[in-house]
Amino acid sequence: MGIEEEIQEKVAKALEAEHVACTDISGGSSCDGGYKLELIVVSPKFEGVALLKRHRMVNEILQEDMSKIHALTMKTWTPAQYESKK
Amino acid sequence: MLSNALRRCSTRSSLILGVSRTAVRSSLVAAANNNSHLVAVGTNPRFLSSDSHDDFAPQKKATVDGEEEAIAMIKSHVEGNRVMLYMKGNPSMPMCGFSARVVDVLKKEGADFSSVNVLDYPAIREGVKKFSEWPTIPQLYVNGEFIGGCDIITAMHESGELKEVLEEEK
Repeated sequence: MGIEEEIQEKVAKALEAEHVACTDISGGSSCDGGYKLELIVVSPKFEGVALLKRHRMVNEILQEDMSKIHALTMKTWTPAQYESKK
Repeated sequence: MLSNALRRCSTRSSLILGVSRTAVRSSLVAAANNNSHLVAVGTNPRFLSSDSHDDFAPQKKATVDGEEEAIAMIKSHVEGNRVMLYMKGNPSMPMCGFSARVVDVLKKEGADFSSVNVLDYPAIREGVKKFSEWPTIPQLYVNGEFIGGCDIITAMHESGELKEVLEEEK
């Protein structure tokens, strides 16, 4: 299982996420080596939670994977926000 | 004002790159000239010694040892600089796309900010992650408070929230 699937599974489970998408965007310009990942999480648990706190929730789940990841860029949306982005 | 700038430069926060860096540097040069003048006319025996005094050693690459010292230094940075950015590279030459994006956003907001290049200071690089419990660089602080990394700063810039935070009075 690639790191993307691993992360998707972990995040989906921990945040009861409706939608999780993790993409490897390492291609080319890595400054440090390690994965560069893009993560989209849509979870009702983000309702009423400030952006910084949402990111912290995800960071916490991925704590042990962080050593392998150089950069993680994420979008953390509530289902309503996701709906409006579609 | 000169003495203030000097004091700021001679303390341990000398690794900060401020927006007013040029001003600080020119006042430093002026001060150094004054000093050498004083030494030359004085009877200080140091004038005859071949070693230059420690005061004249380059300050920029001050080393930071140990986590505790690093964290104490970060605390004094974020409390002493209203807008403080920890980044890779410096604002005119960011060494990472994420740092570059935050610098770009701050410029668009028209914000004055101070920065530290964590690539020069490994202890700060690790220390700042512990300090904020945030795993990545860049990190932006306003009025002593951790605001976020690249994604959060970008999103807050787009929503207009960042402007509010930056305009907040201390």
